[in-house]
Amino acid sequence: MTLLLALLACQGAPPAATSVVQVAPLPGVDPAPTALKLYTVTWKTDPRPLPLSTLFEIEATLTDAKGAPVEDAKVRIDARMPQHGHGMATRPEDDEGVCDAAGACTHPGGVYRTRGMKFHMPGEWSLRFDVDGPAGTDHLLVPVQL
Amino acid sequence: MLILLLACAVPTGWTPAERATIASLSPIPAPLPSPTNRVADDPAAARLGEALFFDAGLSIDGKTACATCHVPGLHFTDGKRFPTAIGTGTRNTPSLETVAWGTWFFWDGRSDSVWAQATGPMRDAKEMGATPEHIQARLREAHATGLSEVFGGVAEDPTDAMVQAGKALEAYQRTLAPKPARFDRYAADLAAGTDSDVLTAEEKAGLRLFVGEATCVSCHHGPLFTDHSFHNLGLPSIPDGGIDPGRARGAGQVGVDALNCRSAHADRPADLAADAEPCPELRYLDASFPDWAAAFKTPSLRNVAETAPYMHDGQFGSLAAVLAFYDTLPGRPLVGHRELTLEPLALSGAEIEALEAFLRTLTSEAPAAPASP
Repeated sequence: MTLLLALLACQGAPPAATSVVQVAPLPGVDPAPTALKLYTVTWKTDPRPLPLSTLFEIEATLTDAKGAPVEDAKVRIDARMPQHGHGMATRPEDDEGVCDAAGACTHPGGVYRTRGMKFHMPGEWSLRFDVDGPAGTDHLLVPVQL
Repeated sequence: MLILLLACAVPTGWTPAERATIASLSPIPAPLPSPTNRVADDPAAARLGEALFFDAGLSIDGKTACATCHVPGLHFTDGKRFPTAIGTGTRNTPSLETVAWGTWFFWDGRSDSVWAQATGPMRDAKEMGATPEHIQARLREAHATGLSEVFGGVAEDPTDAMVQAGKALEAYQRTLAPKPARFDRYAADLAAGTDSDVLTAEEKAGLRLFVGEATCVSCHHGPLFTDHSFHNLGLPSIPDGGIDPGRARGAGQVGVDALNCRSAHADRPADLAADAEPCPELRYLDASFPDWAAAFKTPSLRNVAETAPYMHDGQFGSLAAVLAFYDTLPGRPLVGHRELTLEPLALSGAEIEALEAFLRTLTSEAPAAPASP
């Protein structure tokens, strides 16, 4: 009991940390609706957990309001640090999907990939998915705290 | 009650967030692979590279070796503001101890491998002033046995021979990793659940500032204490400094470097998949990233207390001067804009001293010079 009291008494002893920069794994993300709810985006990173200052790619699965895969949209993925006024120091490339001889491209299963992303600093990033698809244009913003 | 009092007498507790950040700073991991150099981890190549590193015969004046400016006892720096070799350089000599984890090399990142970087000073007129032909001749004259063992002989093409030297030099430099420092012992204790007295109260206070209020860890993160990126600090202008575009120029140069990852001189890992991108960093590099104007590489802070002077142009002679700069951020940059994350620390004198005390806990034993360089 004495030890328990000691521990309880000391819980308030550590000073409150301000502006602590936490290098934490990127949490998993549940399916998220775009701003106008035209689509739903489910995404994950490779590698995962996401290390700082390392190239990574994002795989995003796009579905429509009924839950069906959207295979013929254009999805652009980017990220910025809103409080710092800059984006990434890389130029990510969106996978064009499977294209036919005429240049028409589809993304089987509604899966879209973007490679060459890098979060070079800890802090608050804003991940942005811009979708241009059959239901119209829409976007999703996801705050990411690293 | 006695136990309660004793337990509270040392309120050094860290928050979970602070513990996570401290854990991310140690231990020093194994070197990253060097995929464009097939002899990067070959012990024979490292021995050859060591011999080359101390060989002044590689320079055109016969007096200058890599070790002239990268002095082992100074953690492979020279203690000078600018290096003095055949001529005088314009950027401070960086340490070599953390090159095995780097992505871009030189202060402006104009090389994308250690081996390519190593050929730069050999050819620079102010440093070793050699031509590929001179280097090839010296390899044949003084290092033929080592070249034969590692590469099967000295290459016929002078540039290829110079690249052989660069790759052996990289193999040697990859062995120069800093040894664990007192901070690492403390971090290990903390990870095991013990807030030990390996660091003093002042050093712990400095560590708390480093990972917290002072936000040093924003750029100096990970076990090497660097983000391997580039930033414009808005350093005070200096009378003889002129304007150095830094990364804004280096990012363009690396894309057209005749020795970059895409060049025929770069090796390819045997297990690289046919559809894999061999040079992802180069492929996705944004050479026109606006914040790279007058930005320079974030240096590692390992052994920082032993590697004065500081900054790419060596304008600060002491850690105290560096911290005084971050405390007030005087002046404005001549080019571009200061990194927006930077704000004056506005710390007390005791806090500045604590930060410096913490930085000194990153010091480890300096390597000894070879017995017969």
